[in-house]
Amino acid sequence: MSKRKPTSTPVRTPTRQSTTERSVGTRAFNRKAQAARQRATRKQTRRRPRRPTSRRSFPVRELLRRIPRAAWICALVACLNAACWSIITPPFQVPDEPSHFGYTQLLAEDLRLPTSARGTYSPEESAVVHDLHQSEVEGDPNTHTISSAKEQQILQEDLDSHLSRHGEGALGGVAADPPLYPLLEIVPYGLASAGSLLDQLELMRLQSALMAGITALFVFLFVRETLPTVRWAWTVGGLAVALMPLLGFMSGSVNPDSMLFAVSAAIFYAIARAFRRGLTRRMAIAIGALTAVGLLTKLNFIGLAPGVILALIVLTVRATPTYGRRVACLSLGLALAIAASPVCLYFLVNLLSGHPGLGIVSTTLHLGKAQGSIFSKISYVWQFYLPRLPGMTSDFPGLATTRQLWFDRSVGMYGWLDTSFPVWVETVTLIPAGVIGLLFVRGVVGARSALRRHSLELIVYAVMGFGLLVLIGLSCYFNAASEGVNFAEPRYLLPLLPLLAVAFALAARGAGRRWGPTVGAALIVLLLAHDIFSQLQVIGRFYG
Amino acid sequence: MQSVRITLAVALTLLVVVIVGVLSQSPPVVAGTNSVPIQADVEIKKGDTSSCQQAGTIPQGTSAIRVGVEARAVGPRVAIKVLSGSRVLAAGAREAGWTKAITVTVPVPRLSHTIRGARICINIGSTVEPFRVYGVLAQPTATAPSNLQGVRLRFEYLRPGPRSWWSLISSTAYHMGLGRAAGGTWIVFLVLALVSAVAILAARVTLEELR
Repeated sequence: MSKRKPTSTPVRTPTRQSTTERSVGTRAFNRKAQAARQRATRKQTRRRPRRPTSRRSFPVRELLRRIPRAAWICALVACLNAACWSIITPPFQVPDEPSHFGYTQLLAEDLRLPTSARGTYSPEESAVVHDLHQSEVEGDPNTHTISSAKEQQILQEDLDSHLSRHGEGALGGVAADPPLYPLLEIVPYGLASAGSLLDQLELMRLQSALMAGITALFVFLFVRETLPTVRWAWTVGGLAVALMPLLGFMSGSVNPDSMLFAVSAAIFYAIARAFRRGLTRRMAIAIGALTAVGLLTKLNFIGLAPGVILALIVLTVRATPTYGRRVACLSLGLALAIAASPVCLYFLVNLLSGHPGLGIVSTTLHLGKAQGSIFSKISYVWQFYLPRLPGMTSDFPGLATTRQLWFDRSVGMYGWLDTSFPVWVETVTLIPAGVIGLLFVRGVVGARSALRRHSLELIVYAVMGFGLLVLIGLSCYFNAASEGVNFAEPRYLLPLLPLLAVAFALAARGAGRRWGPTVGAALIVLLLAHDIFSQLQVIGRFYG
Repeated sequence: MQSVRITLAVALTLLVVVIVGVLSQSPPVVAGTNSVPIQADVEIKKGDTSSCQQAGTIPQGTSAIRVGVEARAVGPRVAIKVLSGSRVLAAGAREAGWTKAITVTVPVPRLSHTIRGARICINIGSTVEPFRVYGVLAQPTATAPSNLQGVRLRFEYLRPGPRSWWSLISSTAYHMGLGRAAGGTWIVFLVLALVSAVAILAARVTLEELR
């Protein structure tokens, strides 16, 4: 008790009182009292943060609790929709699915990465691909999947014969993909390893379907950050993405795109949050980590990277008055270091093993052989998306790229890009698309003052979008001689889903305060209809 | 809130009606061909090429013509004219941008009667990349032809089949149950359950949040 008394006094009393104390007591007493004060201060400083720490020990749970119920429902809708697509789409009838499955199998069975040479899959996968007539069905809308009991029996016999799961590992272009997604797919692959290859494939597809849920969740949260005052618009944006057939189709398959969409949505959300709440160290680490995950998921993420870097710089400048230059720059450095770590590691490993710095990526992108002037590249990329300007040489003769490559294909293109709606559907779709476009413009005009306030943030999103578009355009340019216009696939634009969701939300808002929710509801049913008819189209094409 | 409820009810009802209507239609079937077998596939490097060819008998009710033209990634515009003598009976086009497939289907106005001894003039527009055509060589030559005139193309005439999608449901369901992890027709019910769950959840959250 006697020891406690002096400890309590200095803590409660101000400095002035302690000075008075010093003037009365002896040196030994003062020393003792000072030591006790220090102990007490230490105890206090230790005790004080204890409460917040105990709260912060479950920040994830706290964060999850703050997410609105509607966001979880949007995520569930996206998950169920992708799961439905995973059942509807026949095995290996999604772009590159056989190769992505082979990638995971190679990692799981042989613990090695694939090569870019073209070869065969493992004997087990080759047999299943053959039994399913994969190559005959691919690219020929008039050929259906297997349709007789005899074909099923042959397939079943091969599935039961426990053929070797060890392949050459020569997977062509897919080998350039980073290994994070196939590494994650090893989990469902391993869980279903006691079953057949088709069991493994379905479980892997279902894991991808979970990614659709994550995508929709982050898209919802992104819309909430960007349009915080219009609560109903969050649901419009979230559901619009959750019901998008292309997201369901891609996320219902074994393809790293599903994870890329989720990571992209997460980074859009993180940046939006940082613009509103400042670049804290935790947020900087989150943005850096998400960038690293994105780079390890699919190389297309490189397209978003310039925008992310710009966002970090802008956020650092804005954070300087609050946190001080040193702390703000430290956060920036931390984020950049984390983001760049996978690239540096990859570069280092390649250099040490005597390969080109960018390894297989250099070969795939033909960086070394890039031909043509900078103007021809700009012209090509421009025409890849937009009508040709006067003075430009025609790179796409006879083709209106905006309408025929991007709009028509966005209406619906499934399977190995061989399943689409009848032509008249693409024409009719112009009507609702035009109405949505007009409403969006009205929504933008209505929100112009708010948009002006967030102009820097908008520039960041524009750079992210622009970077991705340029990356896809240049990939097409470099590979045009060997692969034609092979990169004109709307799925490559889906990392920008959060922006599309905001556009849908703004379109609904453009109908005005009174009619906005009604238009939003109509928009949701329209997208549900698009999803259902896309599924019917795929069913008719493969099983009809 | 009331207007959202009404919109949702009307739009979902309309959706069900359209689905029923679409499933009441018949998928197209091949009603006839020009009897040209697929013996050769020829790569043509440049577009803007035309050819008029004998089309045989085109059955009544033909509403689309399938041509053996394959694109690598982006198909060119394909325009077709059906002629009897010098009279154009039907014309249609498939705009550029169609994806890789070994055939292209060109919609034409429905033919009200059978046409015997018809001719088809086909024009393939400017192209971004080479394309292939399927049929037989018009004349056996040492070098591959560089335009459409060197090839007799295969044409298939499509018209709505005799059976609607409704009557094909059982066979479609059977096919869906083949070649997958857990086989069986029950898979269709799982798909229906998932689609219903998606629709119900979406409608519910819309009603709760949009007001």
